[in-house]
Amino acid sequence: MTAPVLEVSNLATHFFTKAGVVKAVDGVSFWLAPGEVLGLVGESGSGKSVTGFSLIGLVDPPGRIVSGSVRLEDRELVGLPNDALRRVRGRRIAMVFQDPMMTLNPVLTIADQMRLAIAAHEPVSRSAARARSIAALATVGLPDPARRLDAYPHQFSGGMRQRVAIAIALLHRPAVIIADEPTTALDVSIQAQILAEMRHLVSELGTALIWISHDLAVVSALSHRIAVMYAGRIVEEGPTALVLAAPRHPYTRGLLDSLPSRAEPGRDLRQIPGQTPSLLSPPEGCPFRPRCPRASTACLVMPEPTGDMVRQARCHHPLVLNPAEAA
Amino acid sequence: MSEAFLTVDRVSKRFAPHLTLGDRIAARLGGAVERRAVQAVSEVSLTIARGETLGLVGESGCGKSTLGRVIAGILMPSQGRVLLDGAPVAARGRKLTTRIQTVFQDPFASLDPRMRIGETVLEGPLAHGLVKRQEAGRVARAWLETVGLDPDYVGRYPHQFSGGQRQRVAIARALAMKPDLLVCDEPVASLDVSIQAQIINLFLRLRRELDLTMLFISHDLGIVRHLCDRVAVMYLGRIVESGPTAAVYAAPRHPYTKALMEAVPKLEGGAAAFRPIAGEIPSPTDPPKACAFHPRCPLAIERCRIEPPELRVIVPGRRAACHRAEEVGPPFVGTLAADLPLS
Repeated sequence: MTAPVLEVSNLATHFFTKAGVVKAVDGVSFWLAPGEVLGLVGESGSGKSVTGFSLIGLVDPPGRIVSGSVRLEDRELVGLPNDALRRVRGRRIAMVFQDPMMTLNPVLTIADQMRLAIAAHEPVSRSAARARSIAALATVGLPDPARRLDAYPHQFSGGMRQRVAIAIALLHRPAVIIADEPTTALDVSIQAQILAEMRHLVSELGTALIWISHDLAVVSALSHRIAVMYAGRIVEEGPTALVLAAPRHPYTRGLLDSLPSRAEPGRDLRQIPGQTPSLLSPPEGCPFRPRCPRASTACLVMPEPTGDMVRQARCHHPLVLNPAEAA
Repeated sequence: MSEAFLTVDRVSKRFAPHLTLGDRIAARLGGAVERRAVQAVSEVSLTIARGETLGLVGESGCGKSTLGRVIAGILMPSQGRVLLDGAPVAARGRKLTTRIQTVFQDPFASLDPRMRIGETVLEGPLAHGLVKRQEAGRVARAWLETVGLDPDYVGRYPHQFSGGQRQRVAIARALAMKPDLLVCDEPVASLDVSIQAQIINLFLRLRRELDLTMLFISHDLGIVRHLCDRVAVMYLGRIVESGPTAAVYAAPRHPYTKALMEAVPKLEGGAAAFRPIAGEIPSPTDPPKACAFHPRCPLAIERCRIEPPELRVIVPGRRAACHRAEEVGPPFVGTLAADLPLS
C-alpha cells in the first residue's frame, strides 16, 4: 500500500455561538492515497463542508478546530501559523467551491487572477504565467483558452466559470484537491462534462480528490471510496461499490432506499422518518437513534467505528453482510 | 387518451427589455437601442387530462418555469392561450381562475415570515369567500393534518420550521384553495434526499386521496419518472419530446432526451454509467437556427440546420421534434431505462 498523502485523525471543529456550542465536526478520521478519490456524502448540516474547510484551515470564528490532526504529506496543518498555512494552501492543497464566484474576482480578467495565483507561490514572468494559464484552461476543456483568457468572469457561463476555478486549483499541481459540491449548481449535461474531466485529470495527474456532495449517484460515478457523514461524524466508510451495494449503517441504507431511482414508479418511497437533529442539542448516544429502525437501549451510548481495514461503520447494530460477500 | 382538462394552445412568451422614454425617442429618431428579446417559450401546445400528472423536464433556461407560470396565470402569454375545462385561465393581463394553484421551489422565499402558518394557509380561501370566518380555525387545522403537520402548529411562524415542513405549509396553502390543477415548480429541489422522499410520498398520497391533476416541473429525471404519468421535455423554449413516462424513458425518440438521460450518473453503474453531452446550452437570446439542438446533436444532418423540425406524432401518444426521430436508439446503459419494462 502506498503511503497516505493526507491523514485526518479525530478532527473536531466546533462553533461557539451565543446559543451554545455547535459540534459541526466531531471526531472525523480518514486517509487518502495519492490519486485516490474519496466521496464525502451527507445531507445539509452533516458537517461535510465544515470538514473540507477545516482541512484547508478556512474555518472562521466563532468556529475553530478544537482537536485532532490533519497531516498533509507528513506535515501537520492543525496549529500551523497563518503565513505557513498560506504557503501550503493553493500549492499543495487546493479547494473548489460550489459557487465559482467564491474563487473568482469579478473585477479582474481571468489572465490576471491566474497570474496572481501562480505568483503567490513562485516568481513568474507575465508571458510564462500566460502560457501556463492557457495550458491549465485547456486541460479542463475550456474552448479557445488563449482568447478567453482576457475575458472577465461575468462573460462566462456557470459551467465555464467552474472550469476556470478548477484550472486555478490545478495550477500548482497540488497533492490534494477538496471539491465542495462543485457541480450542484450546474445543469445535468454540464455536470456530466465536468465529472468526466475530473475523473480523467485526477487519474492522469495523480492528485487525490475529496469530492463533497449530497448526491450519491454523482459520488458513485467518481469516487473509489465513500464516507457517509451524519451529525458531524463519519458513520460509514468503505469502497464505493461495496458501500452502495451492501451498506452496513442503517442511515446509509435509508438514504439509498429513499432514492426514486431504486423504487418502482408510483410506489411510495421508503422514507427515513423525522429530520436531522439539531447540533446544538443532539440526541444522547448515537445521533441517528431517534430515526433508526434498529435502535435499542445500547444506542444510548455513542458507538465506536467497527470493521476491518477496508470497511468501517459506527453502529451497534450494523446490517448483516451481503451473503455473497460473506461467502 | 381521455379528453383534455388543461389545454395549452400555441403559447409563446417573450421577455423584451423595458424601453425607457429616452430609448423610445432614440429609436424613433433612428438611434441604436438594445432590444434583444428573450424568447423564453415558443409555440408550445400540450394537454393534461383530468387526474393526470404531467412532468415538465429540462435544464436551466429551457423555459419550463416560464411555461409553468403562464399555465398558472401568473404570467400572461405573448401569444396563444391556456384553457382549463374550456375556459381561459387569464385575460387582459389578469388571472381569472382560482382553480390553478402553485407550489414554488423555495419554501424560504414563498412564505410570509410575519404570518402565522394558519393565516398563510387561510389567506386565499378567506379572501375568495371559500371558507367562512367561523370555521377558519377548523379548516386550517384540517389542512395541516392533510399535509402531515401537527394541527397544533397553526399559531407558529415559518422560521420555526425546517425546509421540508415549510414546503408542507406551502402545499397546504395551495390545496386550501381547492384547486383542480396544481402547478409544482421544482418543489423538492432545495430539500435534502431524506426529506425529498417524504415530500414525494406526500404528493403520491395527495394525488390518490384528492384526485389532483398536476403539472410537475423538475430538472430531476428520477423524480419525474417516479411521479408522472406523462413527460414533456423542453429545450430552448420548445417541447422536443412528449409521451407516457415509461415509454419515453425506455426508448427516447429525441436525441436530446436520450443524451440527457445518459448524462445523469446512475448509482448502480459506477464510473461507466454516464456520458456527457457535448457543448454548452446556447443562450436563449440567440438560439441556433432551425433545430436548436443541432450544434450538440450526434445525429445532426444538413436538413437540421435549415428546416425546423415539427413536434410530430411518432406513435400514438408520443411526439418528438426531430427529423431523425425514428433513428434514435435506446439509451446505451443505465438502470434508469433498463430496469423498466418496455411498453
